[in-house]
Amino acid sequence: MMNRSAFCLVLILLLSGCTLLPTNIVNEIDMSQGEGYDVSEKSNIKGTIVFPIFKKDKTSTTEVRTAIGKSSKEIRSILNNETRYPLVSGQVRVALYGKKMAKKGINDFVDTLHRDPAIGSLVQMAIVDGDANQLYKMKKYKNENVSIHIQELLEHNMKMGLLPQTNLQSFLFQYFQIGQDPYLPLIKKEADNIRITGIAIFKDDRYVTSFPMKDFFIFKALVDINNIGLRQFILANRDKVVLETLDSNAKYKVKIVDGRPEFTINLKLKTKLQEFAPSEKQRQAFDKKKYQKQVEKEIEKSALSIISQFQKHKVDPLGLGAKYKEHFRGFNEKQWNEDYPNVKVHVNADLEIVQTGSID
Amino acid sequence: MQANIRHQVSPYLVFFIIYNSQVGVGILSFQRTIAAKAGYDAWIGVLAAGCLVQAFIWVMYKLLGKTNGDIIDVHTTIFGNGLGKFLSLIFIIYYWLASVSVLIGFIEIIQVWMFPTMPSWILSTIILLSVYYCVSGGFRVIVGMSFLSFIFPQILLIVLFIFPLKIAHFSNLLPIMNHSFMDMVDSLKNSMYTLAGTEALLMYYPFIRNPEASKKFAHLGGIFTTLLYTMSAIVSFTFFSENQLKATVWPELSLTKTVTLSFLERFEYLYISMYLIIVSVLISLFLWCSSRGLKIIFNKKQKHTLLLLCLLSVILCHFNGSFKDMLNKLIIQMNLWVFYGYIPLLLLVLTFLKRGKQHDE
Repeated sequence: MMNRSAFCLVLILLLSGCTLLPTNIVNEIDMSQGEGYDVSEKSNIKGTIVFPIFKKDKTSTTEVRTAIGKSSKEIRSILNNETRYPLVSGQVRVALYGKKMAKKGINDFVDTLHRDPAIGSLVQMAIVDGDANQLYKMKKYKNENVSIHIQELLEHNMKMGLLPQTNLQSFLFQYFQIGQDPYLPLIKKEADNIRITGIAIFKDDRYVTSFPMKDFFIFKALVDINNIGLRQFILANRDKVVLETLDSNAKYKVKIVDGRPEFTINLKLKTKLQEFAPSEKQRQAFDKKKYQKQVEKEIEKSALSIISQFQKHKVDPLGLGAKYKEHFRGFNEKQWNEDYPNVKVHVNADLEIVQTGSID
Repeated sequence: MQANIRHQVSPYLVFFIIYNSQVGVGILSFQRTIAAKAGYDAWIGVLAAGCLVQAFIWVMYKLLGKTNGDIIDVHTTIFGNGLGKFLSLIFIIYYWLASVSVLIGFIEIIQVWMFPTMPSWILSTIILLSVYYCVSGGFRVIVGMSFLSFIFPQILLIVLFIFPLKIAHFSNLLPIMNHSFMDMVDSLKNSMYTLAGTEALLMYYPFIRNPEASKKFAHLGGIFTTLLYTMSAIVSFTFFSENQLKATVWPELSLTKTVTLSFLERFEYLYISMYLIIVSVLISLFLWCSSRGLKIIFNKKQKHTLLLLCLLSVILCHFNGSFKDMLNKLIIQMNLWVFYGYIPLLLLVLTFLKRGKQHDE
């Protein structure tokens, strides 16, 4: 009996000791939801942090604060000098980097996102064509939460649209993978709007080039499995065919010819006809076989053109090097980097239009 | 010497004890250590280590079946009272150090992921308090807890692998067997350490009712943990690229960062808290082994030896950093030499001894 009461006493003391724990009460912290980094003068960084302010019985507003410093955590501590509550980073949803910053390399910032256990690995990352700071400071989004707006804009386009899946984890995976270069969405402030304008391709952690929206469809088909997306094909005789992917699968095959790798990409697409406008401006039944062939050729052409573009810039977002490494035991990274611009790639598209909608 | 039937457990429960004695903090970080040299072929090393563990379980059953008691009985029959007890003391120290290394490893995780400013001694005291409570209930309570920890967190944690598998790159594992034999041996050696823990059987053998029948459950338990570790290794290998894995300290925890549920955005905090159940049962089991050993050797009450060991553990937990690495190295070496070198030798000696005695009679 004595023993038990002593045990209870110790327990009570311990539990009351728990109040000494550092606690974060939700309306007594400022949760940064968006971060942005741009270049500033004298090799300094201009950092922007977006956090919401919750008010009782009022709609919440967002605060955008900017500071200049040497590292992202220094910027945070500078900004802490002017915020009411301590800034915490557990709720970061988007990290944006200005194009100029990205050209210098973003590894320093990604390191802290990777290192800090409080930050999740599904953080969205994007490159801003222009200044991340100006994007966050847009007047239109003063009352609406701009960082959540950007996060949802990117996420719905990845889920339902043409944007390939990217986030912090995918960036880190590609960055560390031997024989692959990362890619991230490119967004821009256009007039009064935030728009996705392209996909930025990196070499290591440095921005190299980007490609516009018209190549999204083929790029997504090459890098993602099970993608959904819409693409319009204007064929040689000016027939317009708009297809939506239901299911896609890209298989990479490597063959070694004369000691050099040769790639064959077998692209299988199952699609649904969304819109069909023949050049004769007359309704006619859709001839599946004829159009499948023509569209396949279109796809192969655009795939080859985008790959040759990558080869010209010596970037490898498709991970051809990684695929080569899987199949060839004597893989040598240096040799591969030399070979890559001249490597031969064949694309075989196999398109099937499974549905034509409620009319034929 | 069999224990009183009131304190014994059913043979099938050995499955859960074997499982729980093998799964600790190691599963959160072993992916990185085994891949250090063997790269993404290391999962083969885990399977090979699993086979060795099976052989080890067989050897232990053979050895203990001969005297029908624990390792202390075996030692005293072979070496006599004095030397036998001294050799057993080495085993006791091993069990205790193993529990301390698990505790230190878990405290480090709590400090890095949840409470960076919390001092070690508070955390170790809180954990050891529940461990003390569990151990003082006796062996049956520990077995009950390990059954519980299998049902509640473990099954759920396996289901969670669905999230990382959704974006897995299985081609990462190719080409298979691309590393030299010595690299594979290195991964085998490191997997041996993470799969260690079955040696606790040497202490709790007398507490199994009908040990013959429990054999198959022990082997099944070993198979289960081997598959669990292999699966966990493959999931992390397909989720991370090789250099990324080599930079990640706790791959399994970083994996759970991708788990988002509509009502819970960050799962890893819950994950670590649930893991406390598994870890505290493991610590209880090892502390039970060492405190029972001390009780038999020095003829003291188990309550007192347990209290002493707990207090010493709290003190040791305060030494972090280089002490932790030293401790881990010591345990890896001890585990390898004492259990995979010495125990089979002991079996040979005992077999010859028994045969000799039969000739004498």
